[in-house]
Amino acid sequence: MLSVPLYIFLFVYFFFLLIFAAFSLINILHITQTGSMTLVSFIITFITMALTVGVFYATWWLLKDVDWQTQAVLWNAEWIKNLFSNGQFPSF
Amino acid sequence: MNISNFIHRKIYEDKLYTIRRHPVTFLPTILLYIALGAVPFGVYFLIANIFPNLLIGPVSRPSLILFASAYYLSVLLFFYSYFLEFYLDITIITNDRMVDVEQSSLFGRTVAEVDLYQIQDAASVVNGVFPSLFNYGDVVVQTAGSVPKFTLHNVPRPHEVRQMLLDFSSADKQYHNKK
Repeated sequence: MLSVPLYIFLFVYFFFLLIFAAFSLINILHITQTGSMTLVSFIITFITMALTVGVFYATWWLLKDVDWQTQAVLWNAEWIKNLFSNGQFPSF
Repeated sequence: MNISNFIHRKIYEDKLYTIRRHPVTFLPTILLYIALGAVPFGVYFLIANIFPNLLIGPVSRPSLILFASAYYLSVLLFFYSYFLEFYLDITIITNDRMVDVEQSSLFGRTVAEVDLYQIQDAASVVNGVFPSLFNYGDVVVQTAGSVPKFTLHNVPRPHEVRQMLLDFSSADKQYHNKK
């Protein structure tokens, strides 16, 4: 049986957040470099950032009671074994 | 930084017009991303009806929440990146030259410019129901410069832009002939 603690998934998520932050910064840099910080670009940037904060808050709120030490089973040979023994394999 | 700094505005360039794509052409993208934002709700109802245990499992529930969170952040990032590709397609026209900035991707930008006296011909094209209703279209500029053809896509009031370019070009040609 191959299992990992659940917090590994959280680390993968944090790594994704790093990429997200880097790309967001590059986008904002593009706006400033091209002199395009206008009311329109400000409004779109503000809406995008507000929604991003909303996603972060919802994620934190939904995950606040999770036990991150729980083991997540990635692979278990029993799955295949049971597949045959339970008679779930299609018979012709 | 402002537009003047971006194009290194010369002291004798007293007029400066910035042309971007018509906002209506961004509406399909907004609708697409709203639809993408609704997808997890559909998936949620599917899972709730077919595999309800996944929504309460000690491992599956946090995993699904993290995945949904990453999905929404990706949608927001792609939306913002696409907005920049749309918004940073700028054409800057002064009384001396035309600068065309095309943001093709997050790491791809083309900047081309032509002196107005090198403009040989300009055509404006409004084709379709929405372009006719909202008065936007393409302006195709033929030049004698190193970039022979400029196409300004989906600009508002294309006929006026074409006329303005031709007027500016004519004035610039007169100025260069006097010299």
